[in-house]
Amino acid sequence: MRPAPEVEVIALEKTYPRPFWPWARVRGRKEAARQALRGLSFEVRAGEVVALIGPNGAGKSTLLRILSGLLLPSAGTARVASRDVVRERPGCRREVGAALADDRGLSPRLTARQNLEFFAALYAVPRSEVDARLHELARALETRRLLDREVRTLSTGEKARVVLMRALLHRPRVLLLDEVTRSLDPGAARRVRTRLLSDAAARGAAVLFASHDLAEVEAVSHRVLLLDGGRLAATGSFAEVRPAAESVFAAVPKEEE
Amino acid sequence: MRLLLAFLRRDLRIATAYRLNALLLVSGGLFTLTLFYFLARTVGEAPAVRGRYGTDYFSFALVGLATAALLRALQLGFGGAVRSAQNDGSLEPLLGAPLSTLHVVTLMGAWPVANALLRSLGLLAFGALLFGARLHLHPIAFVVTLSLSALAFCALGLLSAAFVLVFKRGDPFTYALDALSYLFAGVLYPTEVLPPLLRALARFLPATHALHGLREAALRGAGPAQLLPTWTALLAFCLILWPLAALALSAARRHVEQAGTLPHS
Repeated sequence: MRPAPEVEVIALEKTYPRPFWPWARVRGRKEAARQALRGLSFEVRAGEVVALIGPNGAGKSTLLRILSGLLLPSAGTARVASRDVVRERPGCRREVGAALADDRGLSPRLTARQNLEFFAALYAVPRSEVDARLHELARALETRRLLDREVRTLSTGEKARVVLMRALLHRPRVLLLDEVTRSLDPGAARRVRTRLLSDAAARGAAVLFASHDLAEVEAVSHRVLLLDGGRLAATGSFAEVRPAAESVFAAVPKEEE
Repeated sequence: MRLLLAFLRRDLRIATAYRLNALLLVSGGLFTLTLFYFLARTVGEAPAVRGRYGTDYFSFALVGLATAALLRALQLGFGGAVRSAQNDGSLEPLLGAPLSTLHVVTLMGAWPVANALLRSLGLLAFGALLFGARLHLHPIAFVVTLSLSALAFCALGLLSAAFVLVFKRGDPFTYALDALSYLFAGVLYPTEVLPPLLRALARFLPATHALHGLREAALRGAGPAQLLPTWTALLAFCLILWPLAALALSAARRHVEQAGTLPHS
């Protein structure tokens, strides 16, 4: 029998409600409810690296936030490590390591090490293992010289690497990454994604990562999910999905000049 | 315990990184004491205070100010911690941890609570040692009253945090409670000077009971037997407010997760 998938999404829908109407009217806003995900279904198995691609607003970040337990779906089911993301929230979050878009969750006045030790306590990483895990991750992500610097002195790319360390520190079964290599220089991005994704897959973690970098997607993913307008437009290997992806990206309307 | 220490250590490190802020807090406390010392000398004998608590106006106001500062800090501390985390972007990773919202927000308020306790006890100590306030303290009764008052006000602080989680800025609940407490709970004057109707309304404010209990324990040396009714009232507030705070936080979390506004500042 095949083991249960680490990420299981069935007919998932998410609609962001329109703002409370009297308040929206006072502020002169005419926003309608916005449907971000429309009946999405897929699975990710242990050891599998799956890429999420699609134009801006396709629903990638919404999907990753739902799976991280930080956003409620409007309908459908999502399970992470066999736990329902709505009904078993704290337990589900324990199994997830997330580095989401625009993650600023590091205290600037603390060193990277102090920040990471704090999150290690939050995720109940055994005290005796924290130093060893930090050392191991710092070597993999090339952050050894950053650990004892205050976060406010780090560059954007360096902070992104510390955020990645935070996501990996408790050895999650599911890793959710939203454009994490965006702020790294090309060489660092290549080294980091190779080490990070191959290490995670080697220890049996399921990885779901969103990216706009198709070369990165081709290099590291086992499978690709192409999202368009909140729907799953295509799925398969990079080569299988590529024609559909090209037509989706080509069809994105440009702002009128 | 490990989590509590982790939050306290983190927030203490952040607080001590801003050295000027700590200096201003201490000088602010001394400024307030000096102000009230001379105000008390201007007021002279206050019969309403002398008759009720058997002490001078400065000692009466000192306990009132220390208590009000503590209660206000407790009431604002949780919401302030949530607001600060919204601004620096750490709220989402904190609420992404495998803990309940009540658990996380309570831990986020640990440092503001500890800080407020230290500041209020410091205010009392400075007032007694430097300005000659006459305290006749019953230590056990004082600690029990202080703990029950802090518990009740922590629940109010958590309710305020639920507002901040949803509305980000502007918390009408805390503003109203703070204003009502200063007006009717007897921070700067005994509730006996209020008209009977307002005095009756003041009994519905936890600050009224906290101020009364702490003054009795600190100024008259009242023991457990005399303070039992006050403790019962504070305990009743805790029993009502804590479940309410848990429900409010849970509802606020659900709201921001439905609307997708959790990462917004």
